[in-house]
Amino acid sequence: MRLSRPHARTLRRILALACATLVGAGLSAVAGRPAGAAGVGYVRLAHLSPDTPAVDVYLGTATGSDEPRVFPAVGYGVVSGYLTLPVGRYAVAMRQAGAPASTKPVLTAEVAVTAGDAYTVAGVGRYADLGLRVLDDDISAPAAGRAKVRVVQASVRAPVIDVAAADGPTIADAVQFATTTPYSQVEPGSWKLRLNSAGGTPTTADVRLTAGTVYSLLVLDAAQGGLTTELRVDARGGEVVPAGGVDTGAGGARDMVGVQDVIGLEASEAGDDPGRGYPLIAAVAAGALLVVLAAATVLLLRRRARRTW
Amino acid sequence: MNTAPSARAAGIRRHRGRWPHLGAATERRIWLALSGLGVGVLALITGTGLGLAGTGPATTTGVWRAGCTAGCSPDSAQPPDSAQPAQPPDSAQPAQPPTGARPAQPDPSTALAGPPSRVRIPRIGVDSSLEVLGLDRSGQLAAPADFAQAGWFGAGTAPGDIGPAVIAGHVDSTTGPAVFYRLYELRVGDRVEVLGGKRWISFVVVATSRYDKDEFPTAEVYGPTPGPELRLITCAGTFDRDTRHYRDNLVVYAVATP
Repeated sequence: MRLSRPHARTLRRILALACATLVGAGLSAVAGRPAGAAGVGYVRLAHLSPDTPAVDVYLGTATGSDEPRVFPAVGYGVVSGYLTLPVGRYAVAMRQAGAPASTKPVLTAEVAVTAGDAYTVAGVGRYADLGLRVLDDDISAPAAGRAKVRVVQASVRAPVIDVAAADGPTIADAVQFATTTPYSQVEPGSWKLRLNSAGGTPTTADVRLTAGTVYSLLVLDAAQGGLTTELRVDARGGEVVPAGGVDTGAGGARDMVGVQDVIGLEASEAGDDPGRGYPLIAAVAAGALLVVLAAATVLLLRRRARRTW
Repeated sequence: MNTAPSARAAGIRRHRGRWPHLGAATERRIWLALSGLGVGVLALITGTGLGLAGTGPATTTGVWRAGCTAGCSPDSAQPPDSAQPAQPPDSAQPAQPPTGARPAQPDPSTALAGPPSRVRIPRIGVDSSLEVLGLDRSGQLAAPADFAQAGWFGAGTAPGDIGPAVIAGHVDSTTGPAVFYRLYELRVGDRVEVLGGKRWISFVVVATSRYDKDEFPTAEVYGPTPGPELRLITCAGTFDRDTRHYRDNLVVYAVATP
């Protein structure tokens, strides 16, 4: 059989368009998905400005696709727990407590959340020069048998402090107001921390640090004068970490286990679950490839057939 | 990216229009090139596949209460002794030094949970008691002794405590499917429940991923986490007849629901 020439051309165009669309879809699916196996990161919010009134904090996607979450009337010294968020870009806005959501925020910041990483978005500095800062919280594991601790300096009353354990390690020297030190690795155990500031009376804090744990030591102006500290657990892992994976199979169902990929792919085609992006993308790509090959075959055969006419 | 398909289609159209009488060989070459492009895309995608898996939506957790929040732990339970009452929005002048006290609100989900005794995964019909797993002589996580029973890595985090608790189970025995055979069916959003003491702790799946055991991502699986999390591990991929082990591990990542 032979199609008339305009029909053949139309067919080719349709096929070409289909291929291009499928290939394009595969590529855009790749581009739209950040790398990283775990699909979530962590964000917490903090008010670290001693003389700034309470604020309403808004957290939403950077595109504004969803209604932002609102944390009302957050006062000085408050640090939220971490929110577990899908990887992506988020916008944080602070308004005076009670201000309508429609008003222009006092401060805004954007945070790009990558898989497995943690961030603190904090209002820092004095009210006069208040800023919203995104701190990278390096929650990676400390060296075996160690703890990690850093100092978040939010006391204007003691603008420069040294932090050290009595009869123990120095944690940070000359930490300026509105700054955060890098994490330092320390011996775990119970320590009496001394906070010394120029001209001020030393403050002490009893802390117990556990191996495998990541801490932030918040230094704040106390309500009754002087300083106060709060030790926050940023993240914790086990003290013992196994090497490598685990051998959990004896091969009795190896033929079926070997094709679980394919079964998983079918399952994800049936549902519209974006969580299993890999099989979905593979399906799109495989589909595109099949269409391309099929089209090539059909056209070649048809061409050849026509030549013999 | 969205413009790519139409641009390519237009290119093809123009091509056909300009040289309407191409020979069969030329046309074959064009299609071969297109096929090659398809193969390239497939290779690109499979190459980045692992990294792409499981980037789905996650359930958000955590509430920002005044004072101690969902992220608090026993370590931070020392009563925070400064707080600030909400100021009227029109208070233009800087705040007074904070007064009053924030009540400490220790979150029960972060209390030391103790060893877990059961794991339940409704979607795949798993309901297993748990043995305690240790390390073998090489420092690798030892697999459960019983093919029908999952095991919890006892030297690691207890489910419900802050950190990544690890539960492993066999994918198959020497004769057929074992307790975690259907783990590959789990998807983002699925629930996993672990009995710690007398309390069921609920987790929700946020990602699944498969790794060559030679490239097992220890930091991702065992590294510190800000909240209570769970990892379910079994085997996957090709069975190596020489070592009598599977080449890959399948890891399901889950986080505690509030």
